[in-house]
Amino acid sequence: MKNYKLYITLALTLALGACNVKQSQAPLQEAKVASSIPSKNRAEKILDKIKNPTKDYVLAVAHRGDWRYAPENSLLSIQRCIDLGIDIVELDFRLTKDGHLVAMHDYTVDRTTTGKGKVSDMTLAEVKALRLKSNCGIRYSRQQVPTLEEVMELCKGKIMVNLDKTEGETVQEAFDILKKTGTVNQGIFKGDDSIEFMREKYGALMDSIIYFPKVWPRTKDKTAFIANYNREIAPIGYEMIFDEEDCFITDEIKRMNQQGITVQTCALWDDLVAGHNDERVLIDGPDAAWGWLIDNGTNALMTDRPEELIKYLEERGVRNL
Amino acid sequence: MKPIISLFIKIGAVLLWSLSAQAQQKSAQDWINILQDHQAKEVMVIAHRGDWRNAPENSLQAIENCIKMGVAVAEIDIQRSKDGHFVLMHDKTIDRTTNGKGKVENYTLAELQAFYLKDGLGVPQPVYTIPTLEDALKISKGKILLNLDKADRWLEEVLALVDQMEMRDHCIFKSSKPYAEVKAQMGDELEKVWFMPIVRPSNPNVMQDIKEYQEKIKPVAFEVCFPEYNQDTQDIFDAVKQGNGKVWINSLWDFLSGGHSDERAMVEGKDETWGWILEQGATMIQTDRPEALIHYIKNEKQNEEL
Repeated sequence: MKNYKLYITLALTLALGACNVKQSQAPLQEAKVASSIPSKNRAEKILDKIKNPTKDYVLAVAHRGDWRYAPENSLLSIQRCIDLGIDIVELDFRLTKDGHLVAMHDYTVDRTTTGKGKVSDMTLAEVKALRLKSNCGIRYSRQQVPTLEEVMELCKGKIMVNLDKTEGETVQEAFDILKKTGTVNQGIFKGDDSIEFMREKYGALMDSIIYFPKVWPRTKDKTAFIANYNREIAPIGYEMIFDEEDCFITDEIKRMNQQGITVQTCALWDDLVAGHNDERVLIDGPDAAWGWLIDNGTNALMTDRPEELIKYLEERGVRNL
Repeated sequence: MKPIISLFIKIGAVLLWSLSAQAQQKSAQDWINILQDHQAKEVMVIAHRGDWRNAPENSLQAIENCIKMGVAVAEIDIQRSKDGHFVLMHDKTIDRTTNGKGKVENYTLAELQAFYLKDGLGVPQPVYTIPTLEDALKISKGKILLNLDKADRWLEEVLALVDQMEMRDHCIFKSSKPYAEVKAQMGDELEKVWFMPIVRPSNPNVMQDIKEYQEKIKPVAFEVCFPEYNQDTQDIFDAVKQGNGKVWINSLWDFLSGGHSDERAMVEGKDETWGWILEQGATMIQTDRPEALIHYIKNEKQNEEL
């Protein structure tokens, strides 16, 4: 029996020792990286991966920040993504009555804050007086609704920002903020509209921004939609949405893979990824959902479970920046 | 030593090692033992509405997650359907947490279970439906204790179900009312369940209330809610401990724990908040951040003591 105890003690010591070594090595590795490549910050390295997608790196995209950790679209939820090592944080922006872009998903502030009413009917001061609720609305937090400017200041040099809800509406306003904060290369715009519509509305601005067109099963004349975008602004990425495994869109993903265009998919809900979504990870394991998407051409994977996704991608060995 | 014996010992060691790793996951019985031992140093973490960050509040998955995390008690809320079934639901209506609308009591169980629970973004997720209390008891048996909130309205029926599952020792009941009122409501059952009074320094009779409870039923714990920490609060802590009871503190919101809340812990620092609560001698903490709190207690706090 004495021997058993000895072995257990040994095993425990080894296990604990292994943990300690792992922890103490981390800062050393970081220091090494920092000293060997001083010229590029993390956001620039992420942008390189978007421009030149490779099999050994899958970009992790967090939907509305890490909203399980802190209120959706809050600075705290974004900071958490930075801490987790997320590459792109997807956030939503809407214009207040007095012309400020603030992070808010819905038209109204009802679901996510202590207040009521449309963002477009409120001034920035009025929005700032509100407090964000925890997810599920269990209770209010101390977090305020951040402006796009505050978001970009926080993200500067650290993480890319996918600007949702600006599509075809507030691209110019958002671009002005990116310029002001020196983060034009960190904002990814996206939208459903055709390049013809976007050109008509924004002209040469379309050549100055990073833009991911979104292709849906419902998108009209998909071949021309994509070809026209490629010809006009040669997007470095597309967001591809599909409700069936074998369809025009999944075929198109393969073509984009060959052309070195980043393919972003959204594992949020069933009908965005033909059932290979986040909840499926819980039921059938990550290979059945995230693994399938990566095997079928996804370069940037949007999730509502960023912490688990990062862990999975590390296990797959596709996180070497 | 002969190689073959050495090999057996090694295999045995590996087996024991894996068993001891599993043993770190406490059973319901372990938690029950700790609950009864006022001197136990082990901190019991209570997860408010289950692990609602990673699954819908009051869902079976939210309880399963708690079991995996090492939560001692999952706090769940009970409502009753039109046809008399108990389901897990915080609000009286299903509006906030499901894709349906209306009062729980106006739907049959079958109708309720046709709805989907919403995730934290408010999106209904087909994999989650409203669980019955019976299902919640089933998955918890032997693994985790349950704090049944809002159950006092149908105490007899709820206890009948709990007894049928032989899980009375898994269930915790609480009330803010003084002893006489609770006794009138619960009768003999009061002595036969884990009952924890909720006390507040704002109540001018709080010290007498505590004393009476201690004399009559000697509760294993008292939940202490205090908007700010002062001598009155300290007196309550002392009285509870002197009566060999555990102190339960809610770190959910500032006004329940004198500003020592979960959100402050995440933003401003864990030592000043959760650390402070532990320093007061509280060994039961209800939280909306079970994963982070357990990690804090296990890693940062224990290392400190070593």
